[in-house]
Amino acid sequence: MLRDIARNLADLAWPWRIAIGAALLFVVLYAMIGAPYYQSLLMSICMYVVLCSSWNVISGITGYVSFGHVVFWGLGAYTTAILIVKLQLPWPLALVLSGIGTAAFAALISYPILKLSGVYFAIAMLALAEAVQVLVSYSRGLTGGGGGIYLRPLVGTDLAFLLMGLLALGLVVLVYALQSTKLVQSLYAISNNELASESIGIPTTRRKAQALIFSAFFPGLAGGIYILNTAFIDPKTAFDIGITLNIILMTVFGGIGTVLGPVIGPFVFMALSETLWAQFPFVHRALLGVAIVLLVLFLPRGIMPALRMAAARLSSRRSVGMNAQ
Amino acid sequence: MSSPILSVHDLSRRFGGVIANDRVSFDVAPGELLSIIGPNGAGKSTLFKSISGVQQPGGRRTPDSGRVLLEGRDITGLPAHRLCRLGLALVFQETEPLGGMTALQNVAIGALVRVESYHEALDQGRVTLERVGLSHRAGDLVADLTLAERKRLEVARALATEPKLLLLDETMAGLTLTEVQQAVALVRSINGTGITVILIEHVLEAVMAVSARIIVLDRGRTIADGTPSVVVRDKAVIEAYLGSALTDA
Repeated sequence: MLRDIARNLADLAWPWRIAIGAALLFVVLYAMIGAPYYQSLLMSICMYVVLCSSWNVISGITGYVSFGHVVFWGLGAYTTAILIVKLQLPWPLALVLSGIGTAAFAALISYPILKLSGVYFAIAMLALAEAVQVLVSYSRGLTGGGGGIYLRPLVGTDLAFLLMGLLALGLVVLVYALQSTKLVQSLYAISNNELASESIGIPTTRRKAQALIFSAFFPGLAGGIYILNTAFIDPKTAFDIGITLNIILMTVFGGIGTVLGPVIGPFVFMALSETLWAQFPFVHRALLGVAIVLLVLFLPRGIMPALRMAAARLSSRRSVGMNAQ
Repeated sequence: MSSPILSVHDLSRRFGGVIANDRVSFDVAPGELLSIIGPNGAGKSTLFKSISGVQQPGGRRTPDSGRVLLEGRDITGLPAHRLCRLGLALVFQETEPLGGMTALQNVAIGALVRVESYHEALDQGRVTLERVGLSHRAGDLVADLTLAERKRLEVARALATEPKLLLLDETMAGLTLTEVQQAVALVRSINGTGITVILIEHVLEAVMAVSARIIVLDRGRTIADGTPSVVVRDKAVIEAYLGSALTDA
């Protein structure tokens, strides 16, 4: 597996290497010199890149569409806050532990919940997020209850943007590097045909659990970074189904099951949303709705697959042209 | 007979009041090419599923009673992916492709059970596609393949898992005569490399030509077990399965 990852990275074409290098440089530089408003906006986008890319692993690649992905983000935020407030842990340690804790939670629920599939899995995840929200609301002693939990602001917008940017970039590169490996190819196989996958030796239960754990770890970290910056979260925000819906919309927007779809989706979606909000403050939600409808009508598989198809058509036309000469 | 690669002991399987398999027993020697035939509803596919660890309707893997041994090891009720690792591969009656993937990917994923590296699995997949004569289709999506090619691909995918024992469930159903002949040749060549093959078939011509031994099931029971020439003369078989046309002949 590690050998495959190394080889996939080594096979990466140089324009992509330049793009990754440029993104890295931009994140580091912009964290130092950027304007706080744009840092904050970019941090939100990067957070959604993390949420979408991780959702894409369980839902796009493995085919188990989750309507409760926000639960991992919310748990990450709460775990970080509780570890800092109750145990006085230094924030970097609290952050890492909240990622691990969220992954452990995913491991715990994976066995029963992944026995379900299709719409039943989707609904079970939705119910799980709601149940955790209720649980957090009632555990007042630990979580502050419905009123939420407060921290001292520990991380400024610049550092939060840096962390979120690096997390997003790292995750996307990792998902790319994992494409041609035993794990991700097995997950693609499962999403194609679980019975066939099982019959050719794929331990489907274990692989699906691994996918869920992987896709829970990163939102856990993102939730932690979020609360380190905002210094406050309440159950309504932490487990808001609106966030899950955004994740699904953005990923489908960009191209579900692809590596870059969950990157392009949040950028286009947030840029569109911000522009519409600035230009048409009263009807921006309606206009965003129209944009979504148009996208689903004209690019039903999302932006990335459409771009890929256009590129393929262009190159085939070019080769036809060359043959004609 | 050398120690059997597969032993089925008193296997029974009920669905409500229907007895699909009624104390079926047989041994298969390593390297054998055995066929299991029987009329519709004889319990062939149920037997196939009980041996192969595929989930049955009702969500159970285990037969109601009886045992299945692979190379002397009790494998009754083990999940299919474990059996695949132990060297038992199966090809389903209905094709079960990884539809959104290319032919090569399908086969490479089969090879992944033996190798850790996907790139290595792709190399092995190319060799296996060559072996079944599908190299020219490597880059095509399964959805674009013909039925015969899809079935061939499923055999390739099973072969890629490097099985000792290959179970083929009606892989020749729905093929034209030429395609059946090609399939028979393929099965022979697979068996020729030392892989034990069990065919579960409806296409009688294919079975008669290809296998040295035939087991006949009827209403869940074994009614005959022997060479093709013995089996076609067996009275119970003629009555249950072959009908009067062959009796007259």
